[in-house]
Amino acid sequence: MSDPTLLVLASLANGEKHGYAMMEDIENFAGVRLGPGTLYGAITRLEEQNWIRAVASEDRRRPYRITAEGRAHLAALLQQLDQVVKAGQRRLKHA
Amino acid sequence: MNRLAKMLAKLYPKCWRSRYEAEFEALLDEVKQSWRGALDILKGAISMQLRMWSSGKIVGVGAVAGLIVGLGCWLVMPNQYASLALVRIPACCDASTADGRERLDSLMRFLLSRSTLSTMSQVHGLYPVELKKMPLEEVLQKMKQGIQIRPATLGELSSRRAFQAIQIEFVYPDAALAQRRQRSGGALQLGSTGSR
Repeated sequence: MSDPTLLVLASLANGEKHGYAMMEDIENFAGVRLGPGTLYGAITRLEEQNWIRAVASEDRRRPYRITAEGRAHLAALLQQLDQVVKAGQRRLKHA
Repeated sequence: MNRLAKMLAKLYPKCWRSRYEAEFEALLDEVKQSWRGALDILKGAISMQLRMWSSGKIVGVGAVAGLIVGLGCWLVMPNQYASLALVRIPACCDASTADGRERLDSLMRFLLSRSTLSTMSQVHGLYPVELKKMPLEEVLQKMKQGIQIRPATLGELSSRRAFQAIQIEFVYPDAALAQRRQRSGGALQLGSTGSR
């Protein structure tokens, strides 16, 4: 759950955000405070993969938006995660 | 702290900074900086540098770093000299008999006993620095760790049949003292002193 790329994609799923807004949002929904280096490492990787895209801005704070490929990738990641969660819960019940 | 964070941000690769520096600095202005945050930026910069490097550059830098660490270890670690002595075992100590084994054990116990080691260290002035800082028991323990006793066979030195011996090795930072200790510790000095 602490994979920064997953957290950034999940944060951008409901609308574009700049770096600081992503940090705050991720802390609110996941309880993880990403450091600036970790956040921008994830942003760099995601942009290289074409899963997020920078939005033109007059401000120094540049917002990012999730792309269609990014959305598909996030959906696949969440499905995998869901399988792990369900398997874990089943096993806990039977233990 | 914000100044430190911005200085650390300069460690990112130039091509990365040309794309992200302005927005990254804007983020640093908004975030309350801490040592943990600074460490995160440093980690990010190193990771990004490595991502941008070619495999040849990574191998080259790794090799140079390894060389520097190796050189540092070589300079910091003191020289150790190992002195070897071969002591012929009398016929009465033949390890194939129970009585001989008992005598051999007794000889080894004598060589490694507190009184023998203590006398050796006093007579030859061994471990002067350690004796000033540590209790005698710890110094003797260290001395004991520097001594290794193994069984050996000496055939080539005698025209008669091969005979049993024990090899005593003593490791010490001073070559002359290591050899002197061995001369007094063994009845027959046959080995030589060499750097280890």
